[in-house]
Amino acid sequence: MLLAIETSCDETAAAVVHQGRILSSVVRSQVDLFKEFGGIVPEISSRRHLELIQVIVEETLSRAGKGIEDMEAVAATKKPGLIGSLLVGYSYAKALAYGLGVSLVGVDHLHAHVYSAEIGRKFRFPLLGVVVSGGHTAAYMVEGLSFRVVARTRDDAAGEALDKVAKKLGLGYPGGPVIERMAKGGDPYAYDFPVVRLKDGSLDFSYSGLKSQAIRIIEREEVKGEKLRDFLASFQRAVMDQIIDRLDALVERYKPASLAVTGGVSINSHLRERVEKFSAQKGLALYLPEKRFCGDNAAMIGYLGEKLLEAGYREDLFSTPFPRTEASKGVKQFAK
Amino acid sequence: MKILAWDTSTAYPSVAVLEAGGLLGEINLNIGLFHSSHLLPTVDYLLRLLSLAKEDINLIAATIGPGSFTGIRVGLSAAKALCFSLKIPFAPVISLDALGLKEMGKTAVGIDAKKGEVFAAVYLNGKRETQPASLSVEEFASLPVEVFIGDGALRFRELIKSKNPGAKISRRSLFSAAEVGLLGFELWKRDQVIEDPRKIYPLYLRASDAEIKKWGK
Repeated sequence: MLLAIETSCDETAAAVVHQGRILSSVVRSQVDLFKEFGGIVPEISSRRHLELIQVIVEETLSRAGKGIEDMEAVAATKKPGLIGSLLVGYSYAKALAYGLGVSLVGVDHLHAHVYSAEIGRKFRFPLLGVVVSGGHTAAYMVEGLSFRVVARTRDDAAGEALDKVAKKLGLGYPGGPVIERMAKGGDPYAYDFPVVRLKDGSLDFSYSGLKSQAIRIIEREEVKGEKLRDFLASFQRAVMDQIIDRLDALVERYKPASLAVTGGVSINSHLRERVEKFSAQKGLALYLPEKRFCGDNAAMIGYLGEKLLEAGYREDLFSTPFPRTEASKGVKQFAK
Repeated sequence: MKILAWDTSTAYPSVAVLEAGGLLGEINLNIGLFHSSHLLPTVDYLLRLLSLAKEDINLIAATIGPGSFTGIRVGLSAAKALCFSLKIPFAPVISLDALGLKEMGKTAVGIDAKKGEVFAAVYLNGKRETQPASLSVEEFASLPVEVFIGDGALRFRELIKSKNPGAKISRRSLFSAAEVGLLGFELWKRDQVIEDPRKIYPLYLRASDAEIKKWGK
């Protein structure tokens, strides 16, 4: 039985996991703190994590009906994320494992997102695992615990583009859910946003062009009322178009047996519908996470943490978290 | 009564173990802000050097700030987890006190707060005379004291000399875990320790830059 901790961004989360089953999972979002700022403020987030970490851990244990001495290991998000936020959860987890005399396993947040779609099921490999969120957009070819990055974003993450456009319109944060709600009933083809393809033939994602185009429209014309609805529906459609366009190319190139679409944006019902249609067309098995496991959570950290422990992974006392991973933009070791 | 003590509020990481009021050992590392990687290995190594198990520890004493925000959070996250797993209380120590309370003359302790500020307090004969505060560098250098101590004093030595020609700048060590342990022991004797790890709070003394920008100080 394992206690998992996740503090990579603006959610403080803990979970108790036992043999692939989630005994409890508590997520405390800090989203309300950042509405005024139109986006996350790392220092405020780090402070909130420290206030909440012990509270959330105790709440998680009590919901699982377990004591801290029942925990046989500790798992924590090691990368990527906001370093100040990661440090709170990871320092806590490392000291907890040390105090209890049990193993610590460090988990890649994006790998855990991919595996969030397996909770309660069994993946068929090779799997194309895609993470679409406010901080990350990346695709992996996955075979068991081996992850190969096959695409990542060159600039903004998909959710980040949604956030920035929502911020520009003064609609609040996070952008994805607000836009989905306000776009309801709008004409998704009222505005023409072309699918962006990179000139070098790479299958990487890119959202800054789309975002800039949307912001230019907002600056040029009054986007209000009915028009706003159409604009948001069109922009949302364009963001999803690009995801489907890349999935199509990635499936052609890598020939996976199945597909998992995960991360905060995977809660979007348009994306879910389109991905369902796409995988049916391609004859791929599709895994979408339960809605409660789409956003950041510790259940997925514990779920993958258990598998890593079984495979022999352990952290030593010197281990420390990292802000980036091989799927982060600009990281050099990325191999084509 | 064994106390595990540390200071992670500055770039002078320091870990000590005390038996009541007596120091058993202290490890100081002049390596900068590497608390996340080095705090626990240092604790573990020191305990092993002393042939102690972590279960032998009865109290954790650590600095709660002011100082490096990240350093404080690394230290307090670890303190919460260790107090919780070992079921022992926590003694919160103000970083400035660990440097200032043992000074006899009128002394200003200053920890570099970056952005032109110093976290500071004034001490006289083993007592703190002012509330810890974030002062501008000029305010700090102009404090009416005989001695300046801390990395803030070293960093702004020239300014202090010009504003305060008579004052001395102390070269005393800035590693303070042994003193943190002693102050923690005093808190324990006075029954002022924290039993519930949820109630271990940092002392930042300054809001985030985003808040200062939005709402002012």
